[in-house]
Amino acid sequence: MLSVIATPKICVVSSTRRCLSHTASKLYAEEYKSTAMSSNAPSLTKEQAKKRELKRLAQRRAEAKRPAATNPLYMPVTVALRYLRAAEVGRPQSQQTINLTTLVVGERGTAPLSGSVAFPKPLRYIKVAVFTNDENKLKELREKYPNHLIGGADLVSRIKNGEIPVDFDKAYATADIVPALQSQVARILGPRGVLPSVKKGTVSDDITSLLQESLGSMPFRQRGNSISLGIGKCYFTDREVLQNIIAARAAFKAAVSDQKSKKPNILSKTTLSSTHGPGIVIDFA
Amino acid sequence: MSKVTEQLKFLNKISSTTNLPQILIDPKKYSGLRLTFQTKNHNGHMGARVFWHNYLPTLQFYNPRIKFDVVRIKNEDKQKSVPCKLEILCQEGSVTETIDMRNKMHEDIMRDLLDKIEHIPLPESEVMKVPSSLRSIH
Repeated sequence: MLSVIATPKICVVSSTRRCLSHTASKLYAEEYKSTAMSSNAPSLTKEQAKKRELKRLAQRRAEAKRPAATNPLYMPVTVALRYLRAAEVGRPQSQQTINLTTLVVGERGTAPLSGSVAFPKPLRYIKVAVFTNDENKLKELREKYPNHLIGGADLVSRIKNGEIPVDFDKAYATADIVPALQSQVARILGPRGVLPSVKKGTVSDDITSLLQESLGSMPFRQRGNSISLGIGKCYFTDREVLQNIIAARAAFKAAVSDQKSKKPNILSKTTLSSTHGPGIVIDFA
Repeated sequence: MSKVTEQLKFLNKISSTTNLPQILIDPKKYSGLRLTFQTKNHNGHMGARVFWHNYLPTLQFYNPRIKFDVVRIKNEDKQKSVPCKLEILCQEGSVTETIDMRNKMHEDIMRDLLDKIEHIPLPESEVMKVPSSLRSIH
């Protein structure tokens, strides 16, 4: 009797097992469907979206506060540079740029960070464009800075036609030429961040002093959630790269403290990388 | 494979998992290596390119004071012959040894190099390894 019962029991078990696995895959499919649905924005109410954003912000804040050494990709700068130089071996020197990327954590809507760094060892010669209609000033500036781009309305129209490439890092102007700049080349210079404006402090009638102050410093700007900046070349010594990193850190922190908002941004994970190399987390605090 | 493990693998490829080029070259004796080959693979230049890609990073990592120059020549014409050689430069900058890399596998080029250059194999204690056991990020 027992044996008779036992056999169907086994059958039942095996069939349920099969059944389970079958339903599991079905369930998984349903689950998958629901997650796919939820990833579409319309199914989230406004409240839920806000809640989610706050949660993510809190997560990113917490990550920013964690020491860099807890990251699996953390290395001291000197070791990181050894790896980057190894990854960059045999590449042309123009491609061997080491760059620094810092994540910025802040609420949506705060003004992006920007400023300029004066590097102890600059990567390259910084080119400046100056726009003015004042003939005397033009002459004076051309004599003083022969390698920079200096001109008036003529220069503006040539940039508009694409005759002169926009290869300068900074631009200054006197007040008399600003309307011409805004009507003609704002769409070309604006996205690159080199359109002179009163708000940025790059429009002034006393251009000579403005130029003297700012030559030799590299501008930077927050894009999306990060600030990225070329910090050195692979043939720089460790000391030179470190000095540049320290200068950049001071400038980034100055940019943060200059912010006029109630909840200032904080700097998070910082990585050192190169053109062909890996990204390595370094201690930047 | 997560991004972090991929990255760790890349770093370890440079410093620990590539065994053949883990050598120490005396910087007082040699100033550097100079490789010359084509950008394209034809006419037997593939081994040289792979040698550069696979082994030079490790050589550079353990010999930071040695200079490695790579000269890549652009040549689309299969009829034209372009030199494919590895030169070992002594301290004064003159060429002491030349290895022909044409039609050789990258491993064979590396073995030829080990034969011709004076070196000490890297002691095992000095091999740098990035721990790939994931320390938690969260």
